[in-house]
Amino acid sequence: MPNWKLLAQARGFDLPAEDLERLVPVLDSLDAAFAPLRELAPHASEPVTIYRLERAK
Amino acid sequence: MTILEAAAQLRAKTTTSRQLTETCLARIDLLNPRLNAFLTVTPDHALAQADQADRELAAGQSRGPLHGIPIALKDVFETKGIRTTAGSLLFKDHIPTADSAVTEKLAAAGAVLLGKTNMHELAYGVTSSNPHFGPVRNPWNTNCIPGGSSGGSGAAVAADLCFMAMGSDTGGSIRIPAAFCNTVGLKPTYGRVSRRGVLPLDFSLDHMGPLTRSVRDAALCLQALAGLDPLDDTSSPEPVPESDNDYLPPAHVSLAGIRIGVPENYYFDQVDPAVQASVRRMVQLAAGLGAKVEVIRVPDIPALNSTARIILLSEASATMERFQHRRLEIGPDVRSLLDQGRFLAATDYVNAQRARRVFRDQFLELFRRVDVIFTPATPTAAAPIGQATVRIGDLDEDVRLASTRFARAINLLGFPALSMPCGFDANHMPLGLQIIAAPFEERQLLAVAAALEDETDFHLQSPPL
Repeated sequence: MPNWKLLAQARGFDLPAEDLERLVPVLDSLDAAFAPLRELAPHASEPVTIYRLERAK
Repeated sequence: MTILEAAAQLRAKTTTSRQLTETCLARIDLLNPRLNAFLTVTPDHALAQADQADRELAAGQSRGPLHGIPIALKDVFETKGIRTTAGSLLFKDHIPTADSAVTEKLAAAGAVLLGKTNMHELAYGVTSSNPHFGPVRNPWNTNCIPGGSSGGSGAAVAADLCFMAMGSDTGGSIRIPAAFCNTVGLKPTYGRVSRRGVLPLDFSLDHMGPLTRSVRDAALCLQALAGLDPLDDTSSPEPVPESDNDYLPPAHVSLAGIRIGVPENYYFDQVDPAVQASVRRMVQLAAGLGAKVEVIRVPDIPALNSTARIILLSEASATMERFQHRRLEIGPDVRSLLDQGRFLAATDYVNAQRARRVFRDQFLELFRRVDVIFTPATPTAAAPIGQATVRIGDLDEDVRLASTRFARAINLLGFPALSMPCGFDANHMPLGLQIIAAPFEERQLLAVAAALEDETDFHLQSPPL
């Protein structure tokens, strides 16, 4: 599980200690839920993104 | 009265748009102090639009069934010259210089705008207990939440303050208030209704749709709202059904031959017994009307929900990053969600968007076997305002996670879904049936719902105000 407090420090997030304390279990739980899904998509599967180009006028 | 009925009266000249509008405005005056469903009421604007509609109708110039019908917009749809707050202090003085696509389409259809409805702050939550503008109250029990984030829209329609109110749905925010307030709430296919001019929460999960008092009213609204918007990159060129083949279900709908999938996993595992019984009764009703009921196994819904949460947290935090320096002006629950999103890895976001494709394909495969899927819209009825958890069986669940866990996955898929009234719990609080269909199959979705509505009277019951 990532060390969220260290991560917050490293990223320079200016969060009050009590807010950070409340976030840790939520982030742990989300990370645990998503962990098995990180490798769900086949290797060549592209993300669903929206980026469209049109011919220049 | 429904839109369909009011439109018939307008055509028969037994009422006028001004009369309908004045009745709604009087009801707003009477009940909004208790419900807090509207943030902004625009009586002068509404009466001017109503008078114009009356003049046009008298001259035989009909713009369709919404012409002269009083409606409301969730306060996330931009309205030129009318404050649009998104329920947030960040936008409390925001006066848009242009209308949203939805505002434009409804105006073109001749609808009369009564005002803007209250909502969960930034459309990021399910309680609609707005810390800045006060909580929206459920007309069925004013001590309870109306659901959210389109809670003001649900309460306004349920309390007859307007004939229709628009909502936005990122993780259930149309269907949940519809279920909790005993209205119909339609989340169309992603791309079916333009998102242009809606203050964004999450660009890849946001859907726009109506909350109404009947299924056919939802169909009439979708007819006015659907279509390609070249100014919205996510808008679909899929043709809109028209004329004899439009969204409005016929007066008599047959379910013969319709294949209804009922999940044997997840959706009935952890729900209030009253919800389970109500939805099962609707399944039996559909079978009695000729539908073929098939027990199905749905893909891993908790996995879809987790994937949707990763995308939502990431995109919402990215969208709101510019307001970091004003984070203390954001209420604690939404601020916490925005903080969570900042911790997520970019790789997780990309992998969530990759996983989304896999889930979409699994569900498309499932829809080769069935036409629609029936599930509960929510596991329980509305919780009391201020209550953080709901008890289901022996477990206490977070209200937000519990309320969204049957709806959120469908936003990830982008498939159309609606919630319709299907019964009441022991406290006579409304319950919703969710019906899900394949992409752009709103016509079938609405037809199945209309067939059930024609055989039940849940939608005809009024809250005890």
